[in-house]
Amino acid sequence: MPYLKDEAEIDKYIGEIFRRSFVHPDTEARVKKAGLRMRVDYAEPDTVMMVDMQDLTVVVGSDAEDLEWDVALAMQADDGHKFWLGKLNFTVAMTKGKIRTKGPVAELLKLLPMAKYLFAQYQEILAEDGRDDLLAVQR
Amino acid sequence: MTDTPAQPVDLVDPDSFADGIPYGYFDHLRSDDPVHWHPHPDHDGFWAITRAADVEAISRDTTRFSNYEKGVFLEADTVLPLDFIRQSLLLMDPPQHTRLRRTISRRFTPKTVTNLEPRVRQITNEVIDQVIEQGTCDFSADIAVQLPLAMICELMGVPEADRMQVFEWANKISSFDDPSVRADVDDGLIAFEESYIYVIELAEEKLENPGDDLISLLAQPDTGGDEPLSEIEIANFFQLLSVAGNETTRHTTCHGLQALIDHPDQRRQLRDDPSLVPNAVEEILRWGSVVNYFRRTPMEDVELHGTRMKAGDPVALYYVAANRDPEAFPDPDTFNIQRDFKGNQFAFGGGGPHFCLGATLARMQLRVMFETLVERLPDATNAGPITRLRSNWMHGIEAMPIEFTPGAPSAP
Repeated sequence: MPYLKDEAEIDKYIGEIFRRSFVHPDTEARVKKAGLRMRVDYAEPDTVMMVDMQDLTVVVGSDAEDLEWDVALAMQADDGHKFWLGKLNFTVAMTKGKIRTKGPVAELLKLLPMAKYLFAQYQEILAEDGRDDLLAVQR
Repeated sequence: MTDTPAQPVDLVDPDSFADGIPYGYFDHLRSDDPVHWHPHPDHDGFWAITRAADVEAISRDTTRFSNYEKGVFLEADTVLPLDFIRQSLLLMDPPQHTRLRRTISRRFTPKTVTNLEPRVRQITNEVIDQVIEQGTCDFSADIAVQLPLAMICELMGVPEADRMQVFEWANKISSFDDPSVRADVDDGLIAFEESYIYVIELAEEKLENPGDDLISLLAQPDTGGDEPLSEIEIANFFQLLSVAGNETTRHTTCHGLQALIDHPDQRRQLRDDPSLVPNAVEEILRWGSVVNYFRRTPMEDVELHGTRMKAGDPVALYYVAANRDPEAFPDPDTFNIQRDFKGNQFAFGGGGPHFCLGATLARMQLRVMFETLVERLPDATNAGPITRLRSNWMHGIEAMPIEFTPGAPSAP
């Protein structure tokens, strides 16, 4: 049983991290400076998420499939959930093939300094929705 | 040194380097099989290039031989995934490499290095002060490892309060080389990511509030009209210096002291005439060549000495063999601090665009270190067996117990 049960939960929780990052004072400037169009292909549940840091939009689902991207990632949705809880290191996950990438990886590295702010936001989003079950993930 | 050159040696197996470089086998390859096809367990094999002239020619030929294409190691994703380390200067080809290297060189000048010398001397003495009263220490951990990283922090303007953390990251990252010394491979990767983030943030801060350090300089436009480096490019340069510059200088320092211990007549000459130190440093660099090889990838078929290397074939440039080539260095197996160098030794690479960017800094650090060592630890000798790094690409010394006549600290 995956942590996030369907596409809607991925949108509601992970998509929301980025929506908040567009306006949060700790992350807004970095997101806009990166200006990346990032595609993430999640598996189990299967869906596609497009984060456009130029237009400041997040699209999850079939509408995201044909959108143009600069850099793409693919991972299990469970690993995405663990990453945003701060329990999966990006470099380790990439080295071990848990996160696969296409496009210029350096562009993604630019975003890493804001990850710590986003981890806190993810916890807030889950807590606000009463999802203590999702917060209690073991490594 | 072995005298049985015909005995094949597996250059991929790190254990082949457990007792030191198999110079005898390299002598055989250089003389009889200079473009040697060597099998590899992960792929078909690779070409081993061992003659100084060939190593130099291929190093300079960045049109036909790429660093970017497959990286500089024979095993995929050594140290870090290829996509990660491709952002480093070491893995770029022209024209990207040309622009970035020029931008850095205009700011990281010989004068930058000269200005650091008094501080290098001070730190070297402080490091020796820590052990000199004991009469014994691990030369690798207590002395050799201390200076290079301290200098990189000094150069880049890392705040004093953060330096222990930077040291810890560098130690974890460097243990990539040796599965027997790394506690957990993840620790190294996590340290890489954490230090990367740290430097990006440091660079951003210095963009806002420039100081007189190299990061601030790299982040500013210069009179040459080049764009300044981005935070990512600065972080990559920092990583290159702190991993490549730190480890290589550390191991060269160990090889240098070991060579002087093994050749008391040479050490005596150096003690009697410290003006020989700069040339001795070149000989130490040649003798204790730390990077065994770096890979290149031909972008087209290339014929060398009647052998065709196909486009895409891995080609390993064995600097360690080039440094013992009698055509370039007469009587190469003699350690001679007064050797007459006609050209560069190969510890900084084979020349051309990828010649070590930190060479001036490394030479200065080594010169100050050996000037200080011959003066303050003149009778240092081995107090136990050395422990070599287990690696097929880096000729390193992890532990080197020494003993010496105790002395007084240089400062209160």
